Amino acid sequence: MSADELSSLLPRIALKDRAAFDRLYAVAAPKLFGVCLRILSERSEAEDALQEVFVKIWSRADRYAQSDASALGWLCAIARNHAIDRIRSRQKPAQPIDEAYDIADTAPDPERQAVNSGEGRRIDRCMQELDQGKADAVKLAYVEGRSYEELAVRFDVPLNTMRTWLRRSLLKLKECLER
Amino acid sequence: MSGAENEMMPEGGDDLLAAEYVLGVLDVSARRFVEARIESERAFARMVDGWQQILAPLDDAYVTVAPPPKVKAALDKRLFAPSGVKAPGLFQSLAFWRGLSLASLALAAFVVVPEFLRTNPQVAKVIPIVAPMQADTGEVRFVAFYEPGSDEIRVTRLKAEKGTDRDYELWFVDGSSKPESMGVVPDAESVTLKIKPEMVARINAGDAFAVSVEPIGGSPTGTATGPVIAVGVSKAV
Repeated sequence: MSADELSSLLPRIALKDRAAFDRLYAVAAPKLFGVCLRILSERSEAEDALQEVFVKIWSRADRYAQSDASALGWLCAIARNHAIDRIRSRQKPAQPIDEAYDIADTAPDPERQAVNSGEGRRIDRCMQELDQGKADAVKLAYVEGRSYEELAVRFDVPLNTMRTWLRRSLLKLKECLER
Repeated sequence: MSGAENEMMPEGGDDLLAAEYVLGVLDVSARRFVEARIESERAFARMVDGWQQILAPLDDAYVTVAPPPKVKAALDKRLFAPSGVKAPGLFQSLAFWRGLSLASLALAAFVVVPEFLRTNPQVAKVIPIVAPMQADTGEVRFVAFYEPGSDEIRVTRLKAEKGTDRDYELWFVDGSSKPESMGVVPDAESVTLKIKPEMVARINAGDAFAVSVEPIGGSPTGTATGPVIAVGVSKAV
């Protein structure tokens, strides 16, 4: 899938072009299903979530036309936001984090890396400027959509310490990327 | 207590709130609060976009997994299955374009109807339809006005900008087929476009209209190639 193809499909979907929607599903659904699975862990819930995500894409594609975001980033944000809303709304406690915790498999997807290697390397460099534990907490929060509470338990620190870690890390990341 | 725990927690502030939203650490009520602000405050929405771009490279961590075919089948059924409601896709969009307020309809009527009544005294015999076409900010940019059965559609530009090397193109979207071009919209405040005879019988209240920005002469491909700057569902007035 090329970035250009994705960004040319979205304006057509805004005009309710079904062929463009089918094509977008074919090229983007595996990535977005990966997002839903990673955050939700349960396969059947991830399938439901993926369906909702594409309903949102169908109805909101007109918003992309005016956004500066890359098309894939915009699509991933819709999937992440929906999946995060689902886990936050679960009444039962989240599954033990250790089970799902596997920062090792955050290795970049080679296809995506090729598309966006410049940006990828830049954020990696800035992540390296953070302490290892804090960088891991940022990645875990983003990639798995973990809440402050869950991260505090996982890293065995008080809630306010986790809040402080992540806020300071976010500010450092931004400062590094703007340098 | 270690040095790290003695560090001062940075004060919240809008930029950090936007960052925490994108990072995904907020609870449900805070997320709803942030989303309401994204809808209503442009400056705040831009902060969220900025953080989205900063953190988007972390999306690399998501590996691709092919979903089972039943997901697409269920999706198609939900979005495209024929039902009593015309064009479920558009119906969804109706809910989304909630900015289609009474105020904008009133504005459309104010701008377009009096002039139309002056030039077409027989208008009372049919119920005209009006489609205020809005940007995603809710701002009405164009209004289409159509008297069912007529072979002309009136398009009024309220507020829009394009380069001099671009044309506006009007699209008809009835939700059952691909969007169809209704032609290039001349660069004037109010214009009348001829409608192809085969399209005349198909335009009804509930259909949508859109305007995209295209190369001079209109889209070379038959589908919109440029940004869609205004979209709206028509209503009988």
